[in-house]
Amino acid sequence: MQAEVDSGPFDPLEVEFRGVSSKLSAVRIWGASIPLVLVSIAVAVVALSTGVAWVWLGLLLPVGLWLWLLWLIPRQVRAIGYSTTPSDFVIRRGIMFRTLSVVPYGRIQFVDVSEGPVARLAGLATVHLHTASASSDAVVPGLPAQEASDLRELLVRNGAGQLSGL
Amino acid sequence: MRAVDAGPPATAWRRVHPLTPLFSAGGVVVVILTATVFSNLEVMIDILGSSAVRSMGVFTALLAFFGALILIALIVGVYGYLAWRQISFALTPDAVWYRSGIIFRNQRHARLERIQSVEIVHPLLGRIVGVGKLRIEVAGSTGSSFTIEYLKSDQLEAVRSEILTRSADYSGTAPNYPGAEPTPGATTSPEVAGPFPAKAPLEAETPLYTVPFGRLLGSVVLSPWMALAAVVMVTLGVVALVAITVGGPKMVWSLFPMLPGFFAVFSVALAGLSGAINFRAAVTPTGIRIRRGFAQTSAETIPARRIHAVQISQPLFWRLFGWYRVRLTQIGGQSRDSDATNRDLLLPVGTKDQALLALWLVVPDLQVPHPEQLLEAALEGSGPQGGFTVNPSRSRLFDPLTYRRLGVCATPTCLIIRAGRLDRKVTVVPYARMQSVGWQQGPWQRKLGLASLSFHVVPGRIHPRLQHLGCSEARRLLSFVVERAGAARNEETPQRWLARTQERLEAGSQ
Repeated sequence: MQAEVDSGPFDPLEVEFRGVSSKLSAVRIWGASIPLVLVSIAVAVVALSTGVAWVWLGLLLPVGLWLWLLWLIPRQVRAIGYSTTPSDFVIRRGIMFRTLSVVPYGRIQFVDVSEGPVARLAGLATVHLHTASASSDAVVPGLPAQEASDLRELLVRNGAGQLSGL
Repeated sequence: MRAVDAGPPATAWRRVHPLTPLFSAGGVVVVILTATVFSNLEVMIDILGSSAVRSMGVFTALLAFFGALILIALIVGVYGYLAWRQISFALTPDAVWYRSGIIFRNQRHARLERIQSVEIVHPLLGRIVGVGKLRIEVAGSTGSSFTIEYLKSDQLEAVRSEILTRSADYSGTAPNYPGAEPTPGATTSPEVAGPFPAKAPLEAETPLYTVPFGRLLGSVVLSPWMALAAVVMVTLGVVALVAITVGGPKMVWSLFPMLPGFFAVFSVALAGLSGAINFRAAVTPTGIRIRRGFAQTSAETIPARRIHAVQISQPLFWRLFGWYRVRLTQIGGQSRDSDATNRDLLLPVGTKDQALLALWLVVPDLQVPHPEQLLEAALEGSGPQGGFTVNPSRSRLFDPLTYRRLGVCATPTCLIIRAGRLDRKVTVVPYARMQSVGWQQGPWQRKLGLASLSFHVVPGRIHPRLQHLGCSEARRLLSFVVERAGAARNEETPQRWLARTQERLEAGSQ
């Protein structure tokens, strides 16, 4: 399942990026919706118990925010991409503020694979690469389970082959 | 198949001690329960004395109470069992695996040759029951260790020695402290075989430089904070003086605002002196030895290969005397001395020659035709002279003051980043030490065709970063650095490092 990455004029290394699963949008929208629903319920309770009509206007905020997220999150998810070149792992993200990280395989100290409750329902996992630097920010969210463990395998194999010291 | 459960075969996974969830969550649960009970004691007494309980009868009330207790115990037990079932670890021929979590599942994996140390920890509660945890340290950054908890004490020993033996089999050497040196006899490379140079018996020290107390005091007085404090103090003093001459002796209280000023000056001075008093650096076979301290002295030996970045800086007023300061970032440096601010000094204050010597200890060869010119341009220059690449003039918008000074030079061995117009800073990072490289571009930068690069090194005070480069330059630099950083590291053995240093020091003394 190869999603297309919304690349634009942003390709410093001229590598092909692989997108993450589009199901990640749904997962993230669900995650963001829960607090907004709670806020809406709170507003509704206040409006019903006080009986003041204009309190209902308070619903505009969560609903507006929700609509905005509905537009934003799929775009953000489409902007996430990763690539495995012969010597490095590359990950990119962001539309307004674009970032790209390049991690040589030999620098990988260890790899975390994790999955939250909603992501698991969608069959997605997150792969997190750790180097000796705390600033290395290499997280790939929203990978289908099989792809995640394949990626981990690949990182581990390449890391062993191109091992360099600290 | 779930990603978290992939990896070693099911039979390789081992369980931890069944009481683990109770131990790891136990403390929290006990605290919460006690706090709840105590803060609601009155309410509970009220409930016990209420008419509802009285009508129920004391026996029924007690039954309800113990029923509730049993229910809580049952819930805790079931949770504990489920949590325990999810925790397991595995040792495969080349890695250690650990997985945990009921709802948020996590799997961690560390290759054996990456393991720096394996430590057995017995918390107080665990010691009573005879269980402990195994802390496996992987690399220098925080959150990089992982813990297998809890195991019985004899099991702990067994697993630890198993990990150590396996990693020794795997890499040929036992894992140890990151800076630990290989024994001289173990070196097999033909160029470095044989004993240490005759002039340097083991652990002999060759002094490099010391920091005279007068200069150190001068450097503290000339720091920008001190200048600010001086301005404030003089202003306050003049105001007080005017007040006293105009208003008579009863205006003496106007001197009081100066009091906190004195404390501020004192604390700034103390911070500047800490870690720098009596500073002496020397070369030993294992690395740079730094001694410091007046009443309580300390000595630390830093192997050159553990240093991942160096920064030479010059606060504004130090220019009067041509003084420089050199800091370093070493692997494992932060976790050990997170509270001491000046632990990362390689030279608290010194002349230009001393600063360049300190730099040279770490970065021997810039591999450029005119290193002196390059370093001159790095320390004091501005604009594109001396081989530096400066930002395009459209980046002036972001850095109106420092624009001319911002620059970068990518030599074949390391990256030299020049910044700071008033407080000059030069950061040197060998490509071989970079962990990863990042590229950032915000909306305004994109509009102007600019981008920023950051170079990730081990945690410390130095954060090498290049702001607002031209896009094409950033692209070129990114690919260059990535290619260099990925290239096999050309390791300088401690023996060679010592030989090189001895040679230079002897040449200097003749």
